[in-house]
Amino acid sequence: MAQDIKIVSVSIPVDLVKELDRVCDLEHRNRSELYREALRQYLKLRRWQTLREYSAAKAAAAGGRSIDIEKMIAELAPQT
Amino acid sequence: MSELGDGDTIAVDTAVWMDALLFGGSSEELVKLGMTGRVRLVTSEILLGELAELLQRGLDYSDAAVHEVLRFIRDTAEVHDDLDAAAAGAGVPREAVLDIAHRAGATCVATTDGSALAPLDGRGGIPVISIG
Repeated sequence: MAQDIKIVSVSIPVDLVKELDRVCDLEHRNRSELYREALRQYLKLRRWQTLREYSAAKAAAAGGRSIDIEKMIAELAPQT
Repeated sequence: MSELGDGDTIAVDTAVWMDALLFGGSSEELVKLGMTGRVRLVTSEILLGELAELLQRGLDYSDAAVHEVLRFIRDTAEVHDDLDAAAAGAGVPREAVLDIAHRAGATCVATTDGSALAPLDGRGGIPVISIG
């Protein structure tokens, strides 16, 4: 399936480009692939950090470290 | 965490996802290893359902927040269908993660300290590792 692709121009310090090219050689990949992967990783990390912030606030509201995760799970388990 | 190596396939107990979200620490380190592809994380639809219910009922997460958590996990881990979806209606047995570990060829099951899964270490040849 074809993806919508947009070609963008970015300014990157020369030393960073050199390091990127070294990795490209090592991994037999091209610059575009590595840029895409680096961007995906960064965006995924941001999503995680947002979830962490939300979750930490929920945890604090629910009693912080006194939360018993195992007990919560056990209360959902089927009775046998 | 030192028991885990690059390329390992790890079945993730619900407690680990919750611990990672709420408290970070070693559980979060494992999630991040999965994010970068250094390890392969596996879970199942039933386990995601269990997590969603815990977050909503136990911690009052909004629907949108739960949706985002599940979306993140689907982007980070392999989510397998469950052999017996009907079982989900009766609640999730604690050992469901062992089932997915077997089916996904997992190296181990990751859980948290004090987990009810710890006594099941080695069942079917799969180690249960407490990561904190």
